[in-house]
Amino acid sequence: MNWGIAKLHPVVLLCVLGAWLFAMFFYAQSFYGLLLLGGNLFWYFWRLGRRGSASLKWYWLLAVVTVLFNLFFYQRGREILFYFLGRPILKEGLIYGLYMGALLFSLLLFWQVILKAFPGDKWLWLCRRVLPQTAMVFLFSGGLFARCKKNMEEKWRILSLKGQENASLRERCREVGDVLYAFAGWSIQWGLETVDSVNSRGYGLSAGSSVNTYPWRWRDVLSLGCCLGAVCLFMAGSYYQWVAAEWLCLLWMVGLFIYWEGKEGRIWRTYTK
Amino acid sequence: MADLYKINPSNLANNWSGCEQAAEEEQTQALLAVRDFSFTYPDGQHPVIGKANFSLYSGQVTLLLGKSGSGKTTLLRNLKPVLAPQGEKSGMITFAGRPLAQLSPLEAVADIGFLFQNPDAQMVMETVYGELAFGLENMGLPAEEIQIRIGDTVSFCGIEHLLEKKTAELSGGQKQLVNLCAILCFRPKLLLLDEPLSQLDPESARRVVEILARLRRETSVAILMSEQRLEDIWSLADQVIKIDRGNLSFIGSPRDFIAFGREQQDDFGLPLVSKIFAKSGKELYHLPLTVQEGQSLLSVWGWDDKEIMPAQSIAEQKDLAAAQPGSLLLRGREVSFAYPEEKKVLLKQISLALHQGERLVVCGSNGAGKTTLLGTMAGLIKPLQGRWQLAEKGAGISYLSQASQYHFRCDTPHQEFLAIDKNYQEKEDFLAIVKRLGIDSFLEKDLYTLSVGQQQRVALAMTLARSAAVYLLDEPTRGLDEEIKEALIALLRQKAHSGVILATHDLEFAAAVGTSFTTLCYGTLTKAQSGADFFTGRYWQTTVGARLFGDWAKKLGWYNADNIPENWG
Repeated sequence: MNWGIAKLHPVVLLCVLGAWLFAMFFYAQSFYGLLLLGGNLFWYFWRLGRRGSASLKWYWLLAVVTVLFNLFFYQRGREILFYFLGRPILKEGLIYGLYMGALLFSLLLFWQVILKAFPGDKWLWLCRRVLPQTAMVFLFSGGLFARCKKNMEEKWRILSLKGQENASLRERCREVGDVLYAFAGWSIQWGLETVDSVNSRGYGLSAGSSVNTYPWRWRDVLSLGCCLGAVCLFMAGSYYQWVAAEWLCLLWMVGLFIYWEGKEGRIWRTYTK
Repeated sequence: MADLYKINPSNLANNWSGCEQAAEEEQTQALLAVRDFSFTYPDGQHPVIGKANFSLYSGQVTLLLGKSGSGKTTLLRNLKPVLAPQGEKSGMITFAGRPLAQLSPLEAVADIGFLFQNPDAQMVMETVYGELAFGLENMGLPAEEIQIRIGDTVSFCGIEHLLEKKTAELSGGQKQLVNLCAILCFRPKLLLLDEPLSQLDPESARRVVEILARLRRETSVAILMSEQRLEDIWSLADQVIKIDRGNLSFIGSPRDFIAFGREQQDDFGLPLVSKIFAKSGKELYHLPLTVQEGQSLLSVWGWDDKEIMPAQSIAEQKDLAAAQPGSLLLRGREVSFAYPEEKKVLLKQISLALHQGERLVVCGSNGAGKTTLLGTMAGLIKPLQGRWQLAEKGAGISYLSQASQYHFRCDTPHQEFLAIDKNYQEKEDFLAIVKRLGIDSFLEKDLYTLSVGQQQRVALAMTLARSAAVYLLDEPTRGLDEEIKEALIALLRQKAHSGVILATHDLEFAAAVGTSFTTLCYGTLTKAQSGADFFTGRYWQTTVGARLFGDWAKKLGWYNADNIPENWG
């Protein structure tokens, strides 16, 4: 088990992840998008290992649904590729759909990595005093995401056992709707049980304290410096119209992750040997 | 010892309704005093709790008994201010002499601990250490104090080895231990436990009970505990409160409760040992409460030197019944399953055949792979090797999951039943299941608002109402009271043309319903045995009857209250 950048000081970690998320949303250019997607993929597999590939098919599915949705419903464009059921399918819709699908895919990978890299206690330490509700929502969503996924799979398998072998497509679609409806209701119910447990242990009653202490170490300072350096480079690049600076700072960020994770991995491998 | 069981005529005049007696006690003496407390839900027409009067004292363990849906959870929640449900309340609850409403929020959190039924839903943090620290951090305690409290509590509970673990990696029993430990870190004065053992295997349940026993012995914590699995707890209880449809029908000592049950001819909640001795044919005023007391009484009766008559043995009949299986229904050959990521092999080349009329019980500890085994049979999990095959093509499998909520897709039990069969109200078989499981009283209620036991009954009805060759039931008795368990046993016995496979921790239920028994251990199934062989051949994990009679159980084939004859004494 290696921790990599998860060992950084919570403030630094938040800055690094914030910069990464910012880059994902604001670098609306295919090369940068691909670079970030590559970085996320690397990070995702580094963290989750082989287990990651099992979840990947669901993310692909969501990405493909996004592409198809845009393809069929995006109507702002001029270049018609063909007609489908009397509806024009636009080239712009295809490109926009591909971009949105890739972004969603990248975001899902990023979310999974955050769940692994940002443990709940670190998040609580960081936010409970200033944003107690937000800290709790974030904490819940981490656990809830994994639990919902497991529950959804289990519920789906059990409900689909019951006499759906010979069902028509229409019946199956209705079945999917029913299952999603039931799942949403029960997820809220399960969430309420957790809320009860949290309330009964006094969350939000006082400013709170922490058993964890996070001292600043040299690599925290170095990482924060790298982040600030990347931001400065980006701003300078934007001001002087120096395009190379933009992708350079992105490379810088991606390289930072790879360096830290790789270094941590090496330490653990040595330790295991 | 013999004097203990002599009839005490003065006790016969006991007044079973302890309510009046409790009302006369000084409120200051009691840690928690409930006086004329009633509670009605906002949309309810009748009170869920009606004029409750009782007191809890420091250092005492009080058992809250009642059928599922009788109002136990509602009562418990009303005793913890932050969890109290919305609704109309009357009467008074005082804690340490002060009205409950006047406690500061931090006092209410720290002094009154609440342990929920579901071990999973209570956890929020990633690691066990974080989970234990969570509540103390909320109170704003300094880091050193938190560390001291955690260290102190984990060594008291004996879970130091779990501190480094992730909460997601723990078994159900370990999770509940951690949850209990997290509450004990507050150093509460009152512990409220809402069926904390219902989802645990016998060994995990005993570990929780051991901690409760130590709390009772060594501290002044008052404990109020509702539970359906009572056998392990009777030795702890100082007081019993029985609740019937929101009304407290009994408050008193466990011995008085047994006498009350006999007087009322209602054996609900009575310890199994007491039930066994009640049909011994001997006149006893004090029935033994625990296995240990029962064994002492047997010694007093001279059973140590007793010669067992072969005619008394009924084990042979049981063996005969198990040896006459019907036609083959389901067969599996060398089924294996593993989680490669965790390098954990759960099923190792398991071969099994299920015949018509057979009710096979699969026992095993938490995490042994029982659910996975049933999952592979139901087709929910694909085995890595081998496969399960139904003897008749097209014959169905009906499966009950451990979590009853997975079965629901509608809002009410009625809608769920309609989804299975549009004409279910015209089908006698279906209606009989609904009635026997007592669902007719809440057919139109919202499924979300039902208790765990009621939800389980609906899921059971949905599973049993389906026509299938094989019924797979995973922990079917979760949250069920004795009465419903008996109804379930009767319903399963009616499935003579089908086969049933049950995975359960509830050994008493298993003994009553099963025709053959096996244990899943280290990925393999032991050879299927008859009830007599299985339960009398085990030493630690066995039924109350088998533990009570020890070596005699083996000779007589007595292992369960049902198969011990009348007037056996």
